[in-house]
Amino acid sequence: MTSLSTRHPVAIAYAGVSVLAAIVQHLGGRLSPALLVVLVALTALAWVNHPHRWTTLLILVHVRLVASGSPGHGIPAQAALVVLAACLGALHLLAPWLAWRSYRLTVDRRTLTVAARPLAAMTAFAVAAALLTSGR
Amino acid sequence: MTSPAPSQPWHATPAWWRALAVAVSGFALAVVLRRPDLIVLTSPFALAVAMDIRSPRTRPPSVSTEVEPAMLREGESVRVTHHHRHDIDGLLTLSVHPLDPIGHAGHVGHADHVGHADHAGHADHAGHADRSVEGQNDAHPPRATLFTGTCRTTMTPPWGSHLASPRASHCLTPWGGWSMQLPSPDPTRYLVLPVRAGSPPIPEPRPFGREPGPDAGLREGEGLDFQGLRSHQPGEAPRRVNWPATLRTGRMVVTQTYADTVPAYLLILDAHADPRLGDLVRQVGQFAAAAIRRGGAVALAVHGSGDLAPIPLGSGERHLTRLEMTLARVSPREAPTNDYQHGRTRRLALLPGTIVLVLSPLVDPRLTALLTHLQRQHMRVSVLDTSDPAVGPVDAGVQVVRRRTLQVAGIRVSRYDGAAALALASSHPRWSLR
Repeated sequence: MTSLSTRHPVAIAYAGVSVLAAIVQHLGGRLSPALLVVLVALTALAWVNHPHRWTTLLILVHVRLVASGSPGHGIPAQAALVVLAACLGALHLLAPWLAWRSYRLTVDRRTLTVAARPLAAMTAFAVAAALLTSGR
Repeated sequence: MTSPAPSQPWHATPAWWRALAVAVSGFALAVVLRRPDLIVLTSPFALAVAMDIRSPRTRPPSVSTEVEPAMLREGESVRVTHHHRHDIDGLLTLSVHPLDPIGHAGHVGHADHVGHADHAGHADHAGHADRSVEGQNDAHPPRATLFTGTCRTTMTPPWGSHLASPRASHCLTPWGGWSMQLPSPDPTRYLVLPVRAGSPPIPEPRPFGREPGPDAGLREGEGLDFQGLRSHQPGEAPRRVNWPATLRTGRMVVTQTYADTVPAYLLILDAHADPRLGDLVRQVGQFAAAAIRRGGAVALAVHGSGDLAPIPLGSGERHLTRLEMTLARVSPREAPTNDYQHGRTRRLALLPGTIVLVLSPLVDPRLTALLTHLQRQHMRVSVLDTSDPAVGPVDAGVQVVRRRTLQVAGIRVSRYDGAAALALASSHPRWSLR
């Protein structure tokens, strides 16, 4: 078990997931360079300030970007949507870990296992929702 | 020691409210814009809201702290073990500050964290200090050690009374919707005695270069230990006449001896907050140990700490340990809290001629009255002024007045300038046999 003496492991994971979400948005053709700057700024703010507040805004911006574009069709579009949903779910779950407080979480195996279960369930739920909404 | 269980420990987190906000807004957008694909995007948040819709019914985990040994000496290692059971399905973290001193110097140590049986491991942790009397570690704020399961910490703390306790523990449900902040359990206290010997910066009480001689605490009187020869005085017992010396010199000479009493010391340490208080405590402990080893009796009073009762005269190893335990409980005070201590110190059963050694910056004027009283009681009082020479002119003037007051009362006042000053003060030439 490793003691989380710094915030870097979780913060780097958070930033990585945020970048992945932005890439998915970009592949979907919805992300302009200006919006990319906005997302990077929101990620940085969530990293160093109040994670809950800025993560909420970051997720809502992602949702709004998807809503502003035209709905995608076909399996690639649905897969991209599921990946983006999983990324947003991961951002949601990692946000409490970013809080640099006395009770921030450790990164031992048990904690990671407990934390990974909801993420897997979220992804599975997004896949099921995608199957249902696509009419298959 | 087990943490108490709060009545309503769980509360909803901002994460749950965020999940609710994203799920509601996503569904609203999906309905308004007629975009069912938005439901896919917000479905994880709907799941998170649903999974944590009810408060957990799990009881808060119990936390225990063990310290081994409960009393040690400076330089030895203490092992602090914090443990809590994994009887909660969630994310549980305890924060431990490895050293929680009453106020002393830094230390070095390391922590060995042992987690669950299936993921045992370890991590080294550099020690730190909280509040430092020496002021050397203020630039490095304390950093918590986080653990789940069991945390074993081995430290070599400085002298003092220390607390070992998890500062805070935090539980979070797997979905992050509910959290619980456990109150810190009652701390476990352990005592670190000042170092007794083997520390190069702390010399023996007898200053270097001084020949071993009679203890300054010895007094003239009836006894067997030879002190010297002197002229016979009228009225002296004939059995004290030294006949060989009388025949050799042609005049009556008597043998002078040390009294068959133990040298007695009363050590008064001022607990006024001072950067050198850590070293002063060590030196007082060293002096007491040396005096007791030479057969002397030592009493101790801590000025400025109302919770530390004066220790009467005594000797032996157990008495020395008692003195050191009192010294270890000394905590620096900005303002004295000794409303009752002076009376208790005055009532100490002391021998006539007891050497009273005082280490004080002479900040508290009430100490002057106590020392004057002891001097009137035929004690041999010597004050070592530990005040900072670089104080402002007003404070310096006040201290000069207090020094002069003591000197007028016949009390010797000298400036403390190192460990040897204590020994020099105890062996003043005026105190040799009278």
